[in-house]
Amino acid sequence: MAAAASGSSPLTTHVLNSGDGVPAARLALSLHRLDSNLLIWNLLTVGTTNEDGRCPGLISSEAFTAGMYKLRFETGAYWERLGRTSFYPYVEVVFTISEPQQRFHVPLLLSRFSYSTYRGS
Amino acid sequence: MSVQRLQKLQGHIVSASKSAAMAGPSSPLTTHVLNTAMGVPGSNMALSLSRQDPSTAAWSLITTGTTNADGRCPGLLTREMFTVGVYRMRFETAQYWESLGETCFYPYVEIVFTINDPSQKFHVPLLLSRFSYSTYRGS
Repeated sequence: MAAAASGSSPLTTHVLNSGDGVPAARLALSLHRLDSNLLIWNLLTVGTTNEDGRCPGLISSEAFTAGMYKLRFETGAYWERLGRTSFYPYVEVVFTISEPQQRFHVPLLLSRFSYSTYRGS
Repeated sequence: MSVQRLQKLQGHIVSASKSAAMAGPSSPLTTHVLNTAMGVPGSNMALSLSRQDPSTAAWSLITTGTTNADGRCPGLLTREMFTVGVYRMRFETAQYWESLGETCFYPYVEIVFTINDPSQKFHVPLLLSRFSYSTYRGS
């Protein structure tokens, strides 16, 4: 279900554990695209961040069409594995892609009681 | 289907306590929207608060509102309504930026959080620009 091996994904993410000042490794995430007719989310990719908090191969250029996407980060499970509680059971970032020929970087800076995201390149 | 239409349908299907905590003590749950790009409160932004049913995982709408001139939305709920559970605040961000004549990378922002101790006060703000947002647990 992951992206093609050739070429890097036009959509990337990077999860940082800002509470501890380390990449958030082994955090489960999933990418979804909204079916605009049925108004349901289609699961495109599931993955886990590597030691650097990244998850290469999210989607291929061919599959990356204009539309509404959702990146869901299993943050609650991540903190639980570290033996801590957190305020957010999960984080979902929903964003609109109008120009799929561009590259989009959707990082997540995460602590137990806060998070932020931005559109990067 | 437009967001406004969806909200109208949602209102018909689920009984929502719109009046919420109009008078009396302040809501144990508050929010504050800041437009960090322009350095102003995020005023006139539509938002809604829902709670998840722990057995069915279905979401029930508790209240809808619009931020005031200061980017706040008083009276989200009463202490009695504020039970242990998983809550979701949804902010209509693209609609907000559209009213300012701009686009936004995020059609909406949903912040899902767990309340284990409803005797405390919780502040769930949203700091927002067209291409970024952040939130934190405040008091």
